[in-house]
Parts: sequence; C-alpha cells; structure tokens
Amino acid sequence: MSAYLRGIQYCLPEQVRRNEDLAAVHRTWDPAKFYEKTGIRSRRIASVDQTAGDLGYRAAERLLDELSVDRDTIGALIFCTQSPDFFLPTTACLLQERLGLPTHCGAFDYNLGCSGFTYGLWLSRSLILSNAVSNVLLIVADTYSKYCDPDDLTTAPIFGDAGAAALISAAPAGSIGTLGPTVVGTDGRGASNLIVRAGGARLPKSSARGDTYLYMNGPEVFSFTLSAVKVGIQQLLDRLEVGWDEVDLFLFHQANRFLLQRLQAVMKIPDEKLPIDVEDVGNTVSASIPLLIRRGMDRGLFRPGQRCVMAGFGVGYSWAMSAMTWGVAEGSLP
Amino acid sequence: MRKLAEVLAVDPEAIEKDTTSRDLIAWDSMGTMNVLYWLNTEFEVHLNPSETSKVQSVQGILDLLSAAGKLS
Repeated sequence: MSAYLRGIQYCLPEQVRRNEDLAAVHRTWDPAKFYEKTGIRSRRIASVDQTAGDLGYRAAERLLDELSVDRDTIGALIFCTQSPDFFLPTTACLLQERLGLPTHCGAFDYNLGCSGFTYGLWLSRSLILSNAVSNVLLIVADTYSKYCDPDDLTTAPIFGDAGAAALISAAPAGSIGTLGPTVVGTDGRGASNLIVRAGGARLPKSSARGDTYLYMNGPEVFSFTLSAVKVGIQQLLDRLEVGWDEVDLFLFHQANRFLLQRLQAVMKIPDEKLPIDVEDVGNTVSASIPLLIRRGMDRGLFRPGQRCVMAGFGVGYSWAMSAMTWGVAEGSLP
Repeated sequence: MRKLAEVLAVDPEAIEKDTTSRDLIAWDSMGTMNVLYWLNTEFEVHLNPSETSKVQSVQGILDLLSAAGKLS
C-alpha cells in the first residue's frame, strides 16, 4: 500500500503589507536593502478578526471543491498551527463542523511551525499505511503577524500569514504525487531562540513587551539550519538509497532567500532544483511548502516522475524531511 | 583576519585581534550569519544551540578554529 497526495490548495489573506509600509514608520530602515537580502517584498496579513482557522477553512473548502471529494470519506482531519483560534477546544474540532465532515472523522491539532507540513505528511502517511483511515485532510495555517512586534524589524518584515490544505489518500486515482518516507528530528536546546514567552501556563502574563511578542535570534536559527537540514536530508536519501544528484526538486521551507541560497550552496544544489517563492508572501511558517508546491504547479514546475525532497525546519528546534514522487502510479515509487 | 574582513565587507584595517561585533556596524546579525556560513563552509565548524556568541569577536573565532584544529 502507498499514500498519495491528491491535491493542495491555499488561502492568503487579502491585506498586503509592503516593505515600503514599514519604511514609512521606520525611517532608517532600507526596504530595498532588505529585499535584496531576503527576497521578500511584501506579505499577506490576516485582519484583526481573521484567524488561522479561517485561513485553513478557506484553503480546505477550495481543495475539497476542486477535487469533488465526498466529505463522508474523510477519516481524519489534522490541523497544524501555533496560532489556534482558542486555547481549547482544538481548532480541528471547529473545522470538522465548519467543513461539514462526518462525526466519525478523527480531528486533532498539533503545535509545530516551519516543520509542520512535512510532519503532517509523516502523520498522514502513517495513518494511511496502517490502514487506520483512507483519506486524511491535512490543514496547516498560521497568523504569526499577530505575534510580531511591529517595531521588531527582525520579525515583522519576514513573516506572512497563510493557510493551506492537502488531501492524502490510499487511492492512487487522480493523485498528483506519491508520498515516500519522512525523517524527523528535534533539538529542544534551541527552544529559546524562536519563542513567544508569555501567554501560556509557564508565563501567563508579562509586563515585559518582549515577552508578549515573537522573539527570534536570527543567527542562532541560521546556525541550526546550516547543520540540521543537510544531515536530515542525507538521512532521508540514505533511507531511499538514492544520491543527491538523483533528486529532481528540493522543496524547502521558504524562510527567506538569504537562508535558502546559503543552504543551497552548502548542499551544492543547482538553481533549477531549488525553487524560491517568498517575494510576495514572506515566510508563511507551516504553510510555506504547500504554497510553494501549489504555486509551482500553477506555473508548470512539476513533471511526472520527478523525485522531490521536502524539508521543513525551524521553531523547536524541529525538522522533518519527506520524499515524494510527482504524479506516478503505484509500483514505481522511491 | 583579512578573510573575516571580506566576509563582513569591511576594510581589513578595521579588524584587530580584540575587535568584537560591538565595534563594527557591519557585524550585525546579518554579518554574524555570514561569519557562521564562512566557518561552516570553509572549516566545517558547527555550533551547538546558543553558541553563536562565540563568533561575535575575533578572539572567539580564533578560539573556535583552534579548538577545531583549523589553525596552523
């Protein structure tokens, strides 16, 4: 048995925030220089009353409509977010009702950031291969902009909001990709380098402004990715028994162009094998890989039989690298 | 130290043995990331989490390279 990616859709908030908008407030900040380094020109920002649940809902509606899926066949709804609609109940339960999914559908959230989508593929494929369910609706969405201090120029110009949805199925008919294994990893020593300290049980309230907003130690996170991503991919390739040259596309979490280009150089990946898509969306956390895939599909990036490696990495520290073969039938898989 | 100046895109004379990131505007977080990338690719120096303070001074970088056996 295999697990198949049947489709991907996404939703971006309507509101656009450009670098120039920030520069109008922060007069010494150079938007052109920032774009030159990061490749980010603008981001989509959720409105005050728009949540990750809303973005995920819209993406899932688009996907289910596009694929004409019988919603009664969805056995599990998995929602990845670090900006849930409520502390409780879990947002997945709210989405089960909003999407009209059956009550025999399992639903739960998991709290991961930039590794969230590939982690979700790991979970979804495992549910399929264990025969627990036949169809998994994986939704990832985040509204990090609500955590960003508008005066913190290490985070505010980087993160954008988005939601995405993918259907993973036991049935090959109409699938766009066949999922291979996932390698996961964790290093909690890096937890304090990308964190929102206040608001949870450990620190319910804080008078320190910095505690209530997202804190990111850029050099620390960069140092982590330089080491962990290559090692994780190597572990995946060893498991697949394929070499780096045999991978057709590396679909990385879209942190920013600076980081991606340095990862590309460290791993000696040719330009054409590492698409970058951050210019008008920024770093959309868990939604960045499905956005890259769907927007890549829409501009003709993929060809049947391409061997793809997806890599999610970030907050935690947490990482997950997944294999996928594009658009092939059962029996010719990695 | 000439290579470090190149990585930070500063005049070589701006780098002394006692220079730290606080002495140079160019040695900001982006500059530190460039130093990390240089140490990773040129010397295969990998840091544990919360160790990047070690690359925010010339002496710290020399100590790292020495500990890694990369200084002749």
